[in-house]
Amino acid sequence: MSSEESPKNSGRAAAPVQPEKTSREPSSTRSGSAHPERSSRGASGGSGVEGPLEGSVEVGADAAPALIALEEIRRTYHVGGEEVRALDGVSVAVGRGEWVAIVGQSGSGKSTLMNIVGCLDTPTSGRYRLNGTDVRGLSDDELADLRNKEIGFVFQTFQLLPRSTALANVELPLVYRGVPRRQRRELAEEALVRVGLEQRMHHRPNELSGGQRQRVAVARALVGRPALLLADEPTGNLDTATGEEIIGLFTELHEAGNTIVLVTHEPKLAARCPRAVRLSDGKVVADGPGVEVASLQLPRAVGT
Amino acid sequence: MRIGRAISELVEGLRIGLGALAGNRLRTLLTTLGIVIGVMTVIAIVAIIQGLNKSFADQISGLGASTLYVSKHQWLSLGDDWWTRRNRQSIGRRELKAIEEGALLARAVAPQIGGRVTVSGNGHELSRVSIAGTNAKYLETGAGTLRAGRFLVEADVDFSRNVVVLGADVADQLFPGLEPEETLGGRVRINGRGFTVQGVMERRGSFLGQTQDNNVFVPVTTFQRLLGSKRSMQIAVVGSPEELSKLEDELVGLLRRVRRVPPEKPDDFSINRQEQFLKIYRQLTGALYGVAVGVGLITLIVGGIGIMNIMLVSVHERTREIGLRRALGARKRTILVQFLIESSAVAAAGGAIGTLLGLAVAQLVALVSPLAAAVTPSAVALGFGFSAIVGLIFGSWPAWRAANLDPVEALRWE
Ligand SMILES: Nc1ncnc2c1ncn2[C@@H]1O[C@H](COP(=O)(O)OP(=O)(O)OP(=O)(O)O)[C@@H](O)[C@H]1O
Ligand SMILES: [Mg+2]
Repeated sequence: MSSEESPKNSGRAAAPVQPEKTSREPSSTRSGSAHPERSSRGASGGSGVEGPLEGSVEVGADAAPALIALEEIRRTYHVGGEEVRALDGVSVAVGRGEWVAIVGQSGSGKSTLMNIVGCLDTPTSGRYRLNGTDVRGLSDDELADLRNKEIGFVFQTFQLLPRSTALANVELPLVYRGVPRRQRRELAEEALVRVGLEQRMHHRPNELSGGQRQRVAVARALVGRPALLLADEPTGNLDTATGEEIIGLFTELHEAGNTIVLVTHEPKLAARCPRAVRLSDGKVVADGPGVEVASLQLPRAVGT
Repeated sequence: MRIGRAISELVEGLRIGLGALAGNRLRTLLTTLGIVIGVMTVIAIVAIIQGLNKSFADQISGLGASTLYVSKHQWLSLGDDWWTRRNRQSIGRRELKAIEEGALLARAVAPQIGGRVTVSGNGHELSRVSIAGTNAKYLETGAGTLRAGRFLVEADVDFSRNVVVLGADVADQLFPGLEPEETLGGRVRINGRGFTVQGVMERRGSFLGQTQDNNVFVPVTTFQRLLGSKRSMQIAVVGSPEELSKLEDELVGLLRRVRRVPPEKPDDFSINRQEQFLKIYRQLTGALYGVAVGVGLITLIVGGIGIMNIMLVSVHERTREIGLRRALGARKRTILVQFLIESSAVAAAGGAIGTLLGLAVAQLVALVSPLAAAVTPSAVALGFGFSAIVGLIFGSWPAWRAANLDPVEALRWE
């Protein structure tokens, strides 16, 4: 994976990035323990496509400190009397410091899964524990607080407030956390520096390029130092080169110890992630190293 | 931390709400039109009523608070039937004498007969001047004060002298440029008869556009000699404030006896008080207030519906923003407060504009009509606060809808 991303990445953002999480240590434990485990499972996932569902349940069970633990998650919608199973028994566990891509055809349930992981939506059945807390029992306010503290969202359409400056946009999560003004500003500036936008802090979204807007969004996701970064097709509205920049940014964040879950359509992008999960019709059909899962051709996955 | 959060959410809500208003200035202005008109109307009416109150209070002070007025008819009464009124005997010197001699509780008794005369002198002539025939006690009934010279004295009445005390306007118009003191001893003619000026009254100002100073005072005896003695007089009787009712009983007894009213018949005269004016006046302004409240309520409801409408539009337009804020950790309550602040700010802005316009209208009315205008700060605060409350009430449903949007749906909305 590093062979593909390093040229772009090391050239552009080596300077601004400082590992800021409790960083090196969890990331090293991750590569020490979690990684081998995963790659072994990934191998099995690569060989037999039916396997991964049970495999991931096992991981969920034995990896106690998993940040995300999804068990038999179902999410059904009722459209005109018909039942749509957007998620149909998904069990996935993601440890701290992992970078997981979610791939799958359009309509396979990727966004639905992201919404549940992000506590924006609740499953129809199944159990979801974030950082050990069962989300089911939480009130709406508690969910809002959880999103505020534990989760940083990056959206395909950026979702910046048009009338606010980059700085004000980045400050927003801290406003809802009650961080005093001065401190808010400092943290937001820090986050913008981190994504390489120190020159654009007082620009409004319409004065920024698409890539810059997405950087603002990434800064906003980072500013509260959440446990988890969730990105639903963050490069979907960007051209290839700009998309690469953003992916470079994610790579840096991953290396700094952040946990990232990223939805993507692009096999090339998924291939660069250490781990990828493929969904099809609301079911996990593959879970393993990005390169392997990405290379699975869709017709094969659907066929089995 | 909790308080800190509440404060920063509130500040953010304020910032967002006001920012949204500033971003849609024209729309905001049009939205608030209903509130503007409502508040304007109410403020204008209230300002005029308060103006009236003020001049009425000045006016009524000319009627002594502890003075009873004996007259043939009841003041301001529309109920008495015409026939009985017509057939009542006039009140005249007989009654005056009876009261002067028999009313032990009376502190002062002053007759008043009125009419219109032509006054000339010093080369000027004034027509339709009010004339009052009275006596030396007149000033004690609280009807005014003297500016210069002396008022009528007992001897003027006893000898039916041709002496006159001028109202301020009459003095000004007959002797322009002269100080009141300089007119004393001057000669004027009333309906062609010569009179000597003995005094000049203090100016009383105007009420409902009518000047209160275009009048002259002569001895009651002179008046009757000049204009006939058929006219019914009104007798002002000053009592002590605590014993006004007793005085009234006393007067009723005296008058019934002197007018020979049989015991089974009702009084054929009336005893009036300043309070009656107050009562009628309060009824009148009460009705005006009622109109103001009615108009205000209706327009505020209309304005409130306008606000509700625009807030629904605003919520609709900002669905994605709401979804985003929820995703970033805003609680339902936070969203609710944000939109409530916005709607009450719109309404309060409308209220402020309406208040200013209302004051302007009231001033305009006061300029072009005899009505006065006065504004108390409380009316302004009321207009402002009332409209903010309307904003809160009518904004609450849209705000509730905003707060209860599903974050996922809201984020996907386009
Ligand atoms: N609010 C909804 N009401 C009804 N059905 C829905 C709703 N949201 C999603 N679905 C259905 O659930 C399924 C999964 O949708 P989802 O948005 O998760 O797909 P996706 O994998 O993100 O697709 P894409 O790659 O196109 O974004 C789809 O069949 C979709 O029609
Ligand atoms: Mg999607």
